[in-house]
Order: sequence, then C-alpha cells, then structure tokens
Amino acid sequence: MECLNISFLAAQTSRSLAYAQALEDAGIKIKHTLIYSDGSDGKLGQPARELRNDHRYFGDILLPRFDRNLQDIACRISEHVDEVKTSNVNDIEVVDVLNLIDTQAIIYSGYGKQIVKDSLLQLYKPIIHMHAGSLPRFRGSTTIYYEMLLTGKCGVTGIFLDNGIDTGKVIFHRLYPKPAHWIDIDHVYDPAIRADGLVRFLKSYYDKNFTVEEQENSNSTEYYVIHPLLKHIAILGSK
Amino acid sequence: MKYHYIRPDLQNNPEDYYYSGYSGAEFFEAWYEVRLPFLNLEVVNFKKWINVKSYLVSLNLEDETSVKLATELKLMFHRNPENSEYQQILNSWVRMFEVKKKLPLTAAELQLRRRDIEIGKHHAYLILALLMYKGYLDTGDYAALNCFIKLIDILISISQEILPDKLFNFLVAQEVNELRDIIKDQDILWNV
Repeated sequence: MECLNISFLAAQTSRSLAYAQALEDAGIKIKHTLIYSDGSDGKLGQPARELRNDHRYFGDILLPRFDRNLQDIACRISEHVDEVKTSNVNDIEVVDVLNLIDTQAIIYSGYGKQIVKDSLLQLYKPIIHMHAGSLPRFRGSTTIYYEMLLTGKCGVTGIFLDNGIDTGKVIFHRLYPKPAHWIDIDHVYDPAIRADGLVRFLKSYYDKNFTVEEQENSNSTEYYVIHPLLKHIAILGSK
Repeated sequence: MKYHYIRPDLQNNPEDYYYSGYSGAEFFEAWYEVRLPFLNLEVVNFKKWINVKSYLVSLNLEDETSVKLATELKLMFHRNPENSEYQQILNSWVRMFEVKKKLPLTAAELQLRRRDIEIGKHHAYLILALLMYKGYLDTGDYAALNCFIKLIDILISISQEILPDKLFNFLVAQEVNELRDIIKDQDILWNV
C-alpha cells in the first residue's frame, strides 16, 4: 500500500500505542504523526499503574504491547514525526502543526475527558475517530461496557468528528466479541478493537470504498462513566 | 476486599469512577457488605405516588433544587415514560448529575443558613435518587441506573446525617434488589 496522506494526532496513551502497533502490523504507512504530551502524565497518560500485556492476540485481534515506545513506532510508520509539549489537544501549537502539514485527514487519539474544539474542527480536514460503541445507540463514555451489558458484543464505530458528542457522520462499524476475563478492557481490549477498526477503515479509505452516513440521533442515549458495579457485571455476565 | 467508592464528604468531593479497577466476583461481596446495614429497615412503598406525595409534603421543601426535583418527579409519576416531557426530565437530570457528580447549589440556596443548606441537599439527593430509580424502572435505561447507584454511594456516605428516613431505606433496598436481579439474569454465580 502506498503511503496514506494522513496525519496521526496521538496523545501518549495506550490507545495511541495500539493504533501505531496495528498500523505497523498491517504495513500501513502514513505521512505524518504528531505526538503531544506535557511529560507529566506518567506512563501512557494513564493512572500510575504499570501496564502489562503478555498476549499477542485475542482471536485475530492484535493486542497492544506496552514494552514498545510510541515515538519509535511512529518513526517506523510515518514519513515525518512532530512532538508538541502539551496535554491539551486544542493547544495553538497542535493546531498550527496540523494546519501547516499538507495532509487530507487526521486520525484522532487524544486523552480522555477532552473535547476537540472548533480550532481543530475548522481546519477543514476530516478528523477520524474510532468510538468504542455502536452508534447512535451507545454515545458517550465507557460505552464498551454498556454495550457488553445490553448486547453481549463490543461495537466500534468510525466517525468524522463534529462538535457534538459522538454525533459525527459514520464511516465504519463492526461488532467484536466480548473479551475473555483475563484481558484488561480499558487499556488493552478497548484500544485493540478500535485499532483493528481503524486498520480496516484505512484499507477501505485507500481503496476509496467506504460510505459516509449521517446518524439518526433522535433516540440515542448519552452514557457517562460506568459505575464499577455495572462494570463488573458487564465483564462477568453471560450476555 | 474493601469497597473503595464510599468515603466521607462524597457530596462535595465526588468520586469520578474513572478507570475503576476490576476485582472479579468478590467485588459484589464488598459492595453488598456496605449496603447490608441498611437492609431490613422499615420500608414504605415509594413506587406509589400517594406515598411519595405524603413524604414530600412532610419534608416541607424550601430549597430551589429540591422543589424543582419534586415537581418534575410528580410529572414523571403522571406521564407515560414514552412521553417526550418524561424523557427530557430524566435525561436532563442524568446530565446535570453526571457532569459534576453532584448537585449544584443555586445562589439563593447559598444565602440560606448552613444547616438548612445541608438538609436541603440531603433532600435533593434523596429525591434525585428516587427520580433515577423510577426512570430506570419505567424505561430500563442503564444511564439512569448508573446514576442511581452513584447516588446510593453518596447517600450511604452521608447516612449518619440522614437516618432515620424511610425513603433512604426504600432506595437502598431497591438498589440491591434490582442489581441482584441483573446479576442473576447475567448468570453470574453470586448467591445472596
């Protein structure tokens, strides 16, 4: 596959690491990666807990390894890598770098709890976001668990970001199996299925063989961070 | 194992539940242990509006948030859950609570004496928990159930200031019943 004229906007998180490893594994090259981090966010921007995963695959889904370095993989998959010292995706320096680089679209993998603001959305490049939940039914936070609770599956929906919460136009959707109990969902399985979805979408993007569809948002529920009790039921339950 | 999600002053320093850990089925035991002291207390059936109405009258509500909650709860008891007004009420309170994980105080409420504020807040949390429970019961909406469980955590954290209160007893008992049913429906081995 030729190099895709795309930027990868990557916070220092387990999700970004999963995306980079999946692109590398699939042999997909992109024009540009921008890594942003203020350096104070600990390992991969997550709480101070050592992340570890010794398994390479679950079924045919590639699982991320945490003994790899995001910068190193970024250099392998990208023609050009930039780094900005900030934890704010809307930082003017982030916007400036993405504005100057001549790419057609941006893959988004930011920190949690941040909303992409107009300064980025108004670059008029589609921003590709892989959401862990089937849209429009499962909008919001930790929707992977709500979907497991209610359907026994894990959906991934690719969207072009807009200024709503998970309301953008749909470019990809796939259902994945519920993971085994031994897989850390937050840092391993959730990033892994999003990364798998991203690779599948990029292949269809390269072939110019994908659809862009508006969501029917009228009947969707917005979910918020799941209570640990429901999280445990989602993981242990039979559905 | 300890249930880590209840600590003093959850009202003002809320738990965000972000990236909560996984502990296996033992977690249900820890959660149940925390609820256990409040089960088997005197319970009134607050699924009936007539009982809710009497309770609300007895509170002599004055603070703006509690009065608004009580008014909207009444509407929910008198509307079909598929009614758009019902949905709007439920969704707006879910959003209001979840964004901050607590109820905001209005300027007028801040003018009240400290003691009145605390009592008003307790009432507001109790009524909001009943609203979430009703929303879940009527619609099966897990966003409402999620809110309801978080509110029970808060109410237990301030239970020494609330008790005795029949609505509190009812809410804790219903939370345990509903979750026990869900756990059973999901074929999880946990026998309580």
